[in-house]
Amino acid sequence: MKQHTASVLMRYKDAFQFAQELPSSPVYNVKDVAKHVHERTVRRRIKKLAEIGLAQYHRGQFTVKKEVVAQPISVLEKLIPSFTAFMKARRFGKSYRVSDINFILKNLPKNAKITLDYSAHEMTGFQSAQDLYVYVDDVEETAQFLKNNDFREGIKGSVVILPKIGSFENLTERIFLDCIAKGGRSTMDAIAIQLKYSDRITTRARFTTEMLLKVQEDLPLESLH
Amino acid sequence: MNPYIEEALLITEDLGDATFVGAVSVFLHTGKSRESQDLDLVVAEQIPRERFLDLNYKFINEKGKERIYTPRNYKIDVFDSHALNEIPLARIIQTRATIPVGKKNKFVHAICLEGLIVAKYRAKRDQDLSDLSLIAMYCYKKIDWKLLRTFTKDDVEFRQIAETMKFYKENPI
Repeated sequence: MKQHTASVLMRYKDAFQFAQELPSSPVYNVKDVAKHVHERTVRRRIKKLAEIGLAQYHRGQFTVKKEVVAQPISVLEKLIPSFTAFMKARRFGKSYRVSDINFILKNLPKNAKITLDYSAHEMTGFQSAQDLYVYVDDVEETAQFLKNNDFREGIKGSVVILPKIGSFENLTERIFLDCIAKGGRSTMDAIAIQLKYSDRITTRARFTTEMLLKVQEDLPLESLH
Repeated sequence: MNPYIEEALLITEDLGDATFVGAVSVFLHTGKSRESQDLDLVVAEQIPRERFLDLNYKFINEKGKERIYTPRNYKIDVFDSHALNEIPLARIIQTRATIPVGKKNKFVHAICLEGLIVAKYRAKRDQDLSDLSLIAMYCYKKIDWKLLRTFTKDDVEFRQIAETMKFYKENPI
């Protein structure tokens, strides 16, 4: 299995290298970064990154999840199940308030596993939760259940349904990996989990010193005890 | 009410006047955000230590750094002298937004949307870019571009911010 994921990542090697070498910027223009490489090559690399949710491309501009791409290849290999699940995520909302989340929490499908915001908040108390991400056995069945209860599918809902892909044996590790794969504010959740549950995590991820210090500073005191 | 907003309200009552920046201000503008246990606020003048102590605020030494805790155990960062990502504090107070919270005609002051965007854009940390994406998704139509331009250094920065916000609006994370 490990050999398989490594060979999958070989396809992305040039794309990862390209992303790692980009200067820090919220949004890039293809024309600006294609000074030493052909634009077509740049677009091909962006397309590869977009396939696994690490880049977004629109009309000659793109964003890259630099903090995710910066992880060592041994960590990126372990993130593939999370990337794949996130690419298949479906978002739902009804009232677009916390009551949507309460509804799904009361009606969690059998064997469902909560990850990202809510689980990280419960584990570390570091950041409040925003969206409820739930792994389910049957995405279509859960989506239909939500629609039958007047939920609508779109981009603004707070309930996110994910297909169960990869291992959930060590749930702490899986939540940790999901937080790294999501990037953005979830990266800080990953750091908080690493600080608090280092004994349950086998993956050695790489974070910037600035972020590590920020989380160490803001992590509620009692959660370190 | 969101517990952080409730706390922002209580801090405002305690201190008399405060302008919230950071994650609380993102929540006040968008109705969404992920706040850590600390609240960042700007005040016009330095608040003496004795006043904080009279209000039952606590000074706690954490890893060699003194932090202020409210009586409800929220950590606060008070900005009273340095600019915030190169935005002078007086300008933040002068242009702040007054946002109604709860049902009893109560208000909390927050950095205006335009100042918040510029501050987040300049910070450029992963969490700031996530916040910018959230702002683009929920508040793009509310942005006063003329006001935003006054916070920027030059046309280049203004154009970069405008492009970033447009991209985030069209491509939510």
